[in-house]
Amino acid sequence: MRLAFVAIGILASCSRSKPAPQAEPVAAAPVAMPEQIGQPGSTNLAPLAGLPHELDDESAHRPAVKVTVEKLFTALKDKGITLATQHQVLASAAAASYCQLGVTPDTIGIAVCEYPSHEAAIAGRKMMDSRFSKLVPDAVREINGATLVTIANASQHVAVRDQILTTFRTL
Amino acid sequence: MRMRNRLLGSALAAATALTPSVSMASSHREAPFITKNPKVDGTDFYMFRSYETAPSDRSGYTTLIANYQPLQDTYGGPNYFNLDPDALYEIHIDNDGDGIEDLTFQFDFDLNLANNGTGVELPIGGKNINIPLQVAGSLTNPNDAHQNVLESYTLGVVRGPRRASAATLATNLSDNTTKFAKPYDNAGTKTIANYDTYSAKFIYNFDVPGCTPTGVAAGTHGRVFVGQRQEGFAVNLGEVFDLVNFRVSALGINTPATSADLTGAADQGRNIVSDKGVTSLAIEVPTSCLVKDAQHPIIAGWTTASMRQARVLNPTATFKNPSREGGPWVQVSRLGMILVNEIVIGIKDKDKFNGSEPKDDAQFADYVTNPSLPTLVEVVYGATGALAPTTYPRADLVAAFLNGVPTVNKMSDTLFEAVRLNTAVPATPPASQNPLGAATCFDAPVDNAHGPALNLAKAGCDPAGFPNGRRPGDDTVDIALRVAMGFLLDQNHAPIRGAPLVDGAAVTAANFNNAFPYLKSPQLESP
Repeated sequence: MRLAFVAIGILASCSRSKPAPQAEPVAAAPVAMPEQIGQPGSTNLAPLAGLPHELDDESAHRPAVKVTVEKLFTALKDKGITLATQHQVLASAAAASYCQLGVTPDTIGIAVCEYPSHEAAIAGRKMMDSRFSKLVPDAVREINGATLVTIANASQHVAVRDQILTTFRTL
Repeated sequence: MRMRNRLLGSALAAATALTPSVSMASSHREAPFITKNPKVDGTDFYMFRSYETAPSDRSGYTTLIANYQPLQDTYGGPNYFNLDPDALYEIHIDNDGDGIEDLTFQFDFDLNLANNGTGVELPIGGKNINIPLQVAGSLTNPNDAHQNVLESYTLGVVRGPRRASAATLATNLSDNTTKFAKPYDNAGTKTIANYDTYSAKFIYNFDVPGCTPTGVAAGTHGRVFVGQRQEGFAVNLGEVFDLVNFRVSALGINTPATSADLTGAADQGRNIVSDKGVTSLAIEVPTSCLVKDAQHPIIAGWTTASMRQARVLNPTATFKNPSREGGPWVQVSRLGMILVNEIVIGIKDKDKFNGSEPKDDAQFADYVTNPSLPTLVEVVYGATGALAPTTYPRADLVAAFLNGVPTVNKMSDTLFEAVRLNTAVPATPPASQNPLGAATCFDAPVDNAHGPALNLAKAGCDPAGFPNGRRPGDDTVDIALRVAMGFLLDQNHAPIRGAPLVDGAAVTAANFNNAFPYLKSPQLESP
């Protein structure tokens, strides 16, 4: 109603000409935002809306693997390799079933992906080596059973990278 | 799951926030409210030193183009895409770096029926009947006798804050009036046989009121054109995020053939807006009329559209008065740098941003210093080893989007979002333009404390391009994607800073004309 009174007052001096200077607009009372309708624009980001569901789905359907994400990260912690951040990432990008990404304080990336089988892990590595070589040119990948680890941004930290790989192999 | 940390939480929140706003282009239908008002939906803003050389040297001029009303198709008839006669379209220039406009160009549109408001009529059974279409025959000239609906505008100039003083109207030097005609949209070859020839007749000369230009060729004037153009923007970020749609098959790989390659060729045929039209408000102004003085050659520009605060629908609508508007102007659309309100500003603040002024941009600073897009990229591509930048706040993005790059186009320490152009940098001829613009002029920084090192001798360096202004041929999406992922940061804090990220929708200077208004005629085929 407040808006209606404001509108009536304004329209009393309504004009189609566009004079300056103007008073500052009067703030309208809060109203509910209408629901979005209509066609999307030139291209859309609708797939992103499904990202939380995708991640939850991948988390709920982890395969049984010898070397789990948790097992590797725990082993690395025991070796003194700590992580600054650690979180789930989209496994389908690696054609995997489930993945997590850990990043050390030195910004070494450790992506660990679990696959349904050893063969699937090999196929996943082949696909990433081909498709994402320009995205992460220094990536080093290794497979243990049905688990694939990718180490990135470690060119300046070769010793740490080798320690991660050695630890991974022994699990 | 114990691993979900704050990083992922924020990314998921950002992804969820994108749900109701699924459109994507530079700024096409980017905010909830603007989707209800497509006529005032600003989509792109270009600002660059003119590089037209024939028939006259235009190097003393700067071209400003504001695009509105996106996604136009030829089947948009019979009313097509007139601009809103009850709105005010503006291009603002700040030439002292305080985030407040010093010069505003106002476009004020009007729609009228031919024959002094009667419209074109045909004798039918002894009665004169008003025709239902906007044209009654083919069109060749402005104010053609076959045109039933005539669209025109005035071009006003305001100095200082946009609402502090009245606009001084520019004179149309073709007829010494203050009216400029807008061409009819490209309805097809039967209506307009040659749209290039037809629309060129609507390029008008004018002089900027209150300015005696310097540095321009003798006998030349400013120019203005408003009309339908071919969409110049190219984007395909939705495809970049198509990995979300991937499924793991029995063999472990199921890569959709339709997906764009994030590090593939710049042009993967992914520009799905290339067959659309847009309405351009283009002016070419003596650069000397835009800058503060010769010692301050950097300007900041942006476009806005405003509507009257109140609208009452007329229950007995007429052509001229389907509604009545009144009250102060309320800004409903704002556009400077690309993609800011699309993928930087959170959805809860998108309408607020559209109504805001640059001087108040500190309220949006967190969206720039702590952006969600890089984290989304990491969540989607992190399994491959792709890492988002790890340094916060992102001072590099503040420089690129809010402050200008030091020694290139930084005006002041005031943070505000706008396109910044150093007009002292000469224009690059179109054949030599690099779509990656001035972004190609930086060496990798040794560390973030010192920032990226400007290297004008670097191969491919094109300092006259984005983010130093914006030309039609600048591939701003690829540049913005790379900058977001840390191109201006050091390797240690931005591991994929050097990755040649693309969205697969390329744009180059070759996609445009080499003369004002640069954007090509709409090539919208008749059904």
